[in-house]
Amino acid sequence: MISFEDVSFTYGQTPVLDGASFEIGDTGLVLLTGATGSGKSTLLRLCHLALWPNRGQIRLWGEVPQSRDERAAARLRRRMGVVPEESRLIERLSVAENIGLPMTVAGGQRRERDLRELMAWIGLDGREDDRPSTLTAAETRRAALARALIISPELLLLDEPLSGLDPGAAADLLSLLLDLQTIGRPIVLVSRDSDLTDDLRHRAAARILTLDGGRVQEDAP
Amino acid sequence: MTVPSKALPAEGLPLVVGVATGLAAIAVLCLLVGLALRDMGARWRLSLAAVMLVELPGEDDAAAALDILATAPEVRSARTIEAARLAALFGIDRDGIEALALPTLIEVDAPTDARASIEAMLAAEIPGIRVTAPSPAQQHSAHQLALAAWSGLALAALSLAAIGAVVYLAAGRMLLAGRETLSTLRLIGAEAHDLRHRIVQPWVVGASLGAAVGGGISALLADLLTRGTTLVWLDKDVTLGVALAVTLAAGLVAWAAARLAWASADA
Repeated sequence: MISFEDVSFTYGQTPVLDGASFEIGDTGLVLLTGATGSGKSTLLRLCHLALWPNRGQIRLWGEVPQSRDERAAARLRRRMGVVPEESRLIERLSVAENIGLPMTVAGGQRRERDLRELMAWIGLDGREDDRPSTLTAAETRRAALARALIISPELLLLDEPLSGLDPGAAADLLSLLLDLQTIGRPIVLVSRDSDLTDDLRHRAAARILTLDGGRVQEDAP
Repeated sequence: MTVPSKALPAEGLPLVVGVATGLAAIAVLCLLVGLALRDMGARWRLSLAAVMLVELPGEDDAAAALDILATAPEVRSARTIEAARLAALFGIDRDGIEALALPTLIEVDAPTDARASIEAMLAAEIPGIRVTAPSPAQQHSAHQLALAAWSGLALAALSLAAIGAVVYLAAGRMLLAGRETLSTLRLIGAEAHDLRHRIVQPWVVGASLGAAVGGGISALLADLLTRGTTLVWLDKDVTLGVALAVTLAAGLVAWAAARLAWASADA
């Protein structure tokens, strides 16, 4: 589904990735971890083509998009669900409109029933008409997750989904993510939390990829 | 790809850009008119400072006239006018002065109501002499000119301050919101090129409307500022031309700034 082949990326003169190579298949939970500043979020942004590599190639569903081909990138992004660390809900839209937006962008009609079911499942029932600024941190993160899921993505990418949440809210959200595994689509989760790494390794048999020195290493199961 | 208009950061943006553009048009025109009038006003005040001008029939009479004026109690000072001073007074160069063959002049600083007695005193000794003083209408005109100049500059300063406030308070915040929205929409697969086009469009329309309204108001202001003055060079056609040019320039600048801002939002 995704493969990185000898990918390098630099911010100005600062190298972040240096010949990173790995593959992610069609199912399973993948935890991408590493120290702060090791390039985890950068790697995730490369996955959804918000950044382009300086060297090497990224293959998505067998396709290698040409560097800076925004049209192709947009088409591929419509097959993914992305939950960025800062959620990025649009304040002018209600919670329901935010969650339904990817469906509209993809060219389809918003299916009210699907939307209602998803909002109920994710725990935002009754918040449809509220503005994003009225949501708590945990609800905001849930709304961003719902927005990523509304199009039934073929790949789900999450950047530090549990950071900044209190332990109870983090546990609830983690349990939702583990439920998502049953859908059978790959989930790539970025986290620097070592407790979460251990937890996911044991509870979800997650595959652990560690970024170190600009390269990706796979932890032994 | 379909993105509902509601999701785009267009609320109030065209209005903000339009208002800022209009204010910019007013500010620039007021600045131009104010500066031009101030220059003319300075010339008039110089002219009026020479409260009276004594025209002598010949160059040889200057010394005699100055002797007579020195004895007059009302006269504070008197001196012949040099070519450079004439140039400053009338806004013409030395060649122009020679070409005009102006009579020999003496500049007299004395109260204007003493004109008749000074003329009588001089005419008794030097026949053919003529003393002129600014009329009340001329004095009024000079006053109006100075007032118009300062009004223009004050309006320009106010407009510029308002533009600063509008840009600082609104446009900056909205640009930030626009960047965030674009980033979010790209994240969910919207095509940034089409989005930028849709976002820029209302800015262009708003900026053009604002520039048109601002240009109209500034033309009206320019007309009011110059009305009642003796300026012949700034007639209505010129005023309108300047206003239209400023409007066009302000519109183009606003359009270019909007394009640049949104292009950078994708960077």
